[in-house]
Amino acid sequence: MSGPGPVGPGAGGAPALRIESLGVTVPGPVGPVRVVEDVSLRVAPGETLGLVGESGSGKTMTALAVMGLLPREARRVGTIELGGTRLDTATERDLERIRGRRLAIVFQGSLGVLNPVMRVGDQVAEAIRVGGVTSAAARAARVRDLLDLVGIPDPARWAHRYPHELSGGMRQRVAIAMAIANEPDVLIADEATTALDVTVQAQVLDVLRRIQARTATAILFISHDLGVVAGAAQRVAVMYAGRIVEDGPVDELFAAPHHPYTAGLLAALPRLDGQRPVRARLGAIPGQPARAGQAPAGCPFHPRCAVAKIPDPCATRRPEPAMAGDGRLVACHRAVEIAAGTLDPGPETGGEPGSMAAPLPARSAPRGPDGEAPLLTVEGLVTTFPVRTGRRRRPAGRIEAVAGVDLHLHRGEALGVVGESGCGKSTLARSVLRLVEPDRGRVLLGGRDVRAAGRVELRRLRQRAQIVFQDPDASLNPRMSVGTIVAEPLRIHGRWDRDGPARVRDLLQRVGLDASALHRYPHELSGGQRQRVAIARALAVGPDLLVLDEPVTALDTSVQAGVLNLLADLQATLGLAYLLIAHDLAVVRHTCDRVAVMFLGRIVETGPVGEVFDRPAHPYTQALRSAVPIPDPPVERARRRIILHGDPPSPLDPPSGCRFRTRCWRADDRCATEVPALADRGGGHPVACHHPGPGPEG
Amino acid sequence: MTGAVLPASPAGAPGPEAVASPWRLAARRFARHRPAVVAAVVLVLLALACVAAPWIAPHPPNRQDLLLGPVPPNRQHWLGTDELGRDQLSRLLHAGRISLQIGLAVGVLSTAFGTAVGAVAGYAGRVADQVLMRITDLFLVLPAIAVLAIALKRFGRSQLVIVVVLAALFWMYVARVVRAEVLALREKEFVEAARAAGASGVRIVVRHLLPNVVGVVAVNATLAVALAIITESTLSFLGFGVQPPATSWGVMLADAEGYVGTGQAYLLYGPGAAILLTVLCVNFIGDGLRAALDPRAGLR
Repeated sequence: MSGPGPVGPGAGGAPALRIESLGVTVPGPVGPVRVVEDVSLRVAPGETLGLVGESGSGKTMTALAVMGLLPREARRVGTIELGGTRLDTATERDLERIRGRRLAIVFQGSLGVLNPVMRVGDQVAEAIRVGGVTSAAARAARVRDLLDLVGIPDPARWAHRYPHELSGGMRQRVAIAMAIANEPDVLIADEATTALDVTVQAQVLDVLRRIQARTATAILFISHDLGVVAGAAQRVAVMYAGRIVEDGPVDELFAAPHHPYTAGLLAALPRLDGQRPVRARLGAIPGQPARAGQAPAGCPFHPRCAVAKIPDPCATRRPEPAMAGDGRLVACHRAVEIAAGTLDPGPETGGEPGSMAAPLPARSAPRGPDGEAPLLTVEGLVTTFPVRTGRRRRPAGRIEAVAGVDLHLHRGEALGVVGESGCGKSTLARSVLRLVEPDRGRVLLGGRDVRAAGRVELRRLRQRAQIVFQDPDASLNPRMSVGTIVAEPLRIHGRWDRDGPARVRDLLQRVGLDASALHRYPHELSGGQRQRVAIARALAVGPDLLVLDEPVTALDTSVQAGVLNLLADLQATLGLAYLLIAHDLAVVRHTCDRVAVMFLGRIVETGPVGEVFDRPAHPYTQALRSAVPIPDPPVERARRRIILHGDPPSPLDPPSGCRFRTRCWRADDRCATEVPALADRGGGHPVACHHPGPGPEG
Repeated sequence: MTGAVLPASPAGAPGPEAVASPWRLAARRFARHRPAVVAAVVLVLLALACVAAPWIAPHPPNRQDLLLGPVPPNRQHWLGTDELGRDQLSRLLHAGRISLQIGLAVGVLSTAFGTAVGAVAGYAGRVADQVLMRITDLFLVLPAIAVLAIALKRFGRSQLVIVVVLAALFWMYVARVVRAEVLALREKEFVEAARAAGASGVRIVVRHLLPNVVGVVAVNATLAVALAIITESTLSFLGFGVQPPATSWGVMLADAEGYVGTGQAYLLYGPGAAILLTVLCVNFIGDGLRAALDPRAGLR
């Protein structure tokens, strides 16, 4: 790059990390592929730079290039400087001396980073030894300090445990302890909180913040999650197809994105704080993220851009990064107009094929409890799994994954079930369809008892309720063509006739795929397209109820919005009822009418989404809500977070009484003895808590 | 236009030939595996020669020429003759029919049976799995040669008996591999999706599970073929091979055994080379199939 480097808060003084014109090339099936191109970044001491992008944008390759840990066959160009030390020209031996001391990284999966046969304390001690602490006693003391610093209770005890004995959140905190053992100048966090539950993520982010305040570490915070970045970073760089498309201070960038891609990402996000009109259409960016190296000519974003001037200049010339006021760098031919406010960079929120038009078509209000009988009624549902332990895999009792759940769902209504991993929400979804056999309780679908149904009856009921799974990669048979996949339910139910092919085509069109998809195979489609195929399959037999098990979790942000819009359209036009299982509260708030919050197999709070999310009465809902990052930096900074201490209780041995009491700040003796019933306790919606009330963060 | 719409296929409508089905991709990958392609060609030529033996063999396989006696390879008899004056090349081609038949039949039979057992055990789970797998273990610990010998004594040494007994001794390997694959596949969401759509167990096994295990099954089938040909020759060596006048490569090898180190050692070369070549080819083809049918392999 020949232009000026990014100028911003990070530009003053000597940066802790300076990347100039970094390029990375890896060999591909048809010649070398440029996965990182012309990337320039600066991070000042004590600053956090958020590096945002979707899968395949080159974020991780950038991080690995800085660490000098690129795959052997990769080629690198450009300058990388760590506080005056050139890393790109350093020898491997020099790098070994720098890594772990002045430069450290935390990866996404912490299980792979920790050695399974070594006690965690010893592993942290090894990281300290690298820094030159030679006395064993000094090391042991430092290990305890570090574990304490990252928020591990009783460090002396946990230091003697092995990695598999720690929860995912604790392991990630140990990985952070190892990374900061020698107080590095620069810490790279590569999706370090992505695999964690939101309450644990809040803990880990809190740890990073405290460490930074203490040691003035520069943090390169890599994430796909704009919400997390909004709260964690002072500056943000957005990557697309291996290039930086926008780089600027977090507040300005979020408030007025200058690059159409940034604007698109922000418009695509559902929000938990109700800052978006109810049931508004999300701004889906059309198309698929361009993979680095396969970017089209000109601006890599132009095929998906709402404001591209085609062909010239957007489809012909690469836009160079240029200053666009308020310390911002934008690589867009139309940045000047956008910065001046004469051009709105946001994506059109117009209609999609298969739907009518924007905004969302009005839909008949779901019938309330006093109307007709609910489509789905669940009463006292209990589903357990045997637990085997020890070398001989002896049954050692049963886990109650679903421990007595009541819920109901009316025709045309959308009910969201939220909770963290292991709370039993997916088991609940599967139990409703009898994909797992419940132990006790009743499930009524359209008045028919699902649990009592025989083979034939069950098959008939399964035409009325269908399921869409999280990972379209796993939920489509790789050896069947799309046409065969969508037709299969019709064949199973003996409804395949002369109109079959036309019906399949119609279904594909409904989910926004064109007929050319018929003869394709899942591996030829993108993630979003695959999920649309899965939805078409679920719709084939004309169900009344769709169970959606994390339907957008595996998708990139820009693609996720399109699928959420599709779900909303389908619900409006077909009058479907949804049982939406999600860990993402914002998705539920956006898509659902009502929500049920689950904790360890039980529903702790339920009601209309607005009420539950705006006025939560259960401490767990309050903690959950406060932990969800909101993609709005000033709002995010102003929020008071409830940090839950310790780890979630084991479902094998749930606490007596209220299951949340071990992490609850309101718990008293009564909570330990008496199970709170789910009932309206004056808050307007049912809560299972002995001490409901407004949360500490208001 | 949204991302959901697939780009129009370049150059007109996508005819069926434009479809990159997993099978087509597999064929393309196999074609790129040089040793496998060469092996397949060699094996096909060998098999054709054996099948056409009655027409192309230079002499009737069992015509004796006691006056001629054993002669080393020459222009008249490319592989020489044995002490009865029988033309070795003609015998080799005819014997190949039987050896290859046995190999192929055992391969198909043991693979089919093993796949069925493995699929049922893996999908049904619980008691069926336990029972089937214990039976499999039982077969695995049987001393194969002893069982074969006893069975052949009891039922006679017909080709059919040999095939059935060999298949009964080889199906366990396929069954175990298929069971493991099915156990893993059963947890995949596409199987759950099929169940949610109301599919029957049979449909799930036939339509969803089996097409996804062809890779390992095909590879194991080739191994079974090679193993069958080798075991058949071992049996012949021990005197339990096919009965005269029919002959197999193993029987020919056994007949020539006494000549090691004598002037008639050339009798070993023909059948030995035939067995070696066949087994090698089959193994190479197995390698090629493994690479071609691995879903994780590159797509194009």
